[in-house]
Amino acid sequence: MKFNYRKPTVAAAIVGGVLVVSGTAAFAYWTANGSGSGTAGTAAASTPLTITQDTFSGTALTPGGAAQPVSGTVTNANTFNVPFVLTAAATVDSSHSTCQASWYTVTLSSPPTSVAANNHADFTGTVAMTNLANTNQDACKGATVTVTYTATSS
Amino acid sequence: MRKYAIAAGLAAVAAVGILGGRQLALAGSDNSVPGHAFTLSGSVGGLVPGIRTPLRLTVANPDSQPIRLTSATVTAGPVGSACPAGLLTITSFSGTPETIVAGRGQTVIELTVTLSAQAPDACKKVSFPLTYAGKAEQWH
Amino acid sequence: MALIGRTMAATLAALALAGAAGQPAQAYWRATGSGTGTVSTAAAAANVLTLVLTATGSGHTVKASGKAGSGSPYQATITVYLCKSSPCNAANAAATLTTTQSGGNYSVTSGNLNSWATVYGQANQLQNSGWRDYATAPAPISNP
Repeated sequence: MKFNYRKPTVAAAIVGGVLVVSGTAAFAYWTANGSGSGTAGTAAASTPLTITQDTFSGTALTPGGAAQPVSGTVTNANTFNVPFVLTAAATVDSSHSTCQASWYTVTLSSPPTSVAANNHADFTGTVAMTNLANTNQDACKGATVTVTYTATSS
Repeated sequence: MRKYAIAAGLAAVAAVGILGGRQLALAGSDNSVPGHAFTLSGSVGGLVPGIRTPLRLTVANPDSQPIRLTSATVTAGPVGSACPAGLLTITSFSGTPETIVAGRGQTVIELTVTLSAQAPDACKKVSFPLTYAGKAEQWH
Repeated sequence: MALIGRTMAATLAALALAGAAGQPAQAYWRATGSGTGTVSTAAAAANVLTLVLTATGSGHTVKASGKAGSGSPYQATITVYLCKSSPCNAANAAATLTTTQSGGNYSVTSGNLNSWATVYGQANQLQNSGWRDYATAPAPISNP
């Protein structure tokens, strides 16, 4: 086939062909894959909760005497809320060693079950000494009862 | 002769029109070329249970041509037997919003990592290994 | 994996929204702690109370006597429970006698206990702090 390049139609065809050729080069494309690695670290160990009891301001205990109020605070220094179960137990000082800790009862009144981040939660309760009818409890006279409050994971 | 010329010209115009679409799969759907591989990098720390934490990935394009990121996924590995990979929930990127990485440039995308609220205390202060995979296509 | 991740992420996001609507649904690392406080038990003077039961030999009566604390913090009243069974205390007292101590001693006599096979006794004396001192009779009386 003999082309007469000077004819507009042929020129147009050739231009079109060039366009086709350049269009193929311009619009073919590639895809690529990417990869890499990293780490996701978890926060370090949380700060323990601190618990303090307010200074006892009730009447000193006697066997069978009225239960006396105690109160205190659970403080959370973490940046997140912490749920817990609060319990309390009594021990007796060593110079009153035959005074039984089991003769004392600590009862917490609807204790808090969580403490917000950077916040504190208050608690209240009572302490009482049981009167045992035929047991000599004289060893407890003047004894100091230490109440230990513990917040455990719930 | 004129008919052939006109037909050829029309065909050329048509071809240009068809090839004008950037999404045309000219040479098959997986036209991945090793020479254009790009990288994803990044890490996150301070995860605490139940808190959504951003994971910022840097997508680096070594090619002179810009690319459009079409997907980025993260696979986590375990830390010992107490901290399985399933404790992490990580979102992935699937093309939206349109993310272009300039030729020889980088862009940061943001995914989200959430540590399970049930993560045990044994998983405090550990580092889960993360593996990134992505796909991109040439962009004009 | 990516699809599972997206599904889980969507589910967790929905749950988080639901949780947030119900309560401050912050999650947490666990933390524990402890602390102490003290509570005092009333101080009190030593227990010096004693009790002996003696059959008077007349009218089926029983005398309760012994030593007691004298002066503050001890209070003057002495209370004696008489019981038909052991251990004897306020709960099973069948007769209650009261008297006051004098010079560190006390003595009080019961009514007619003819029908009692055995008489047990417990005395108590209150101190100002609320402590109550007790003394149990070492031996019962039979057929008063």
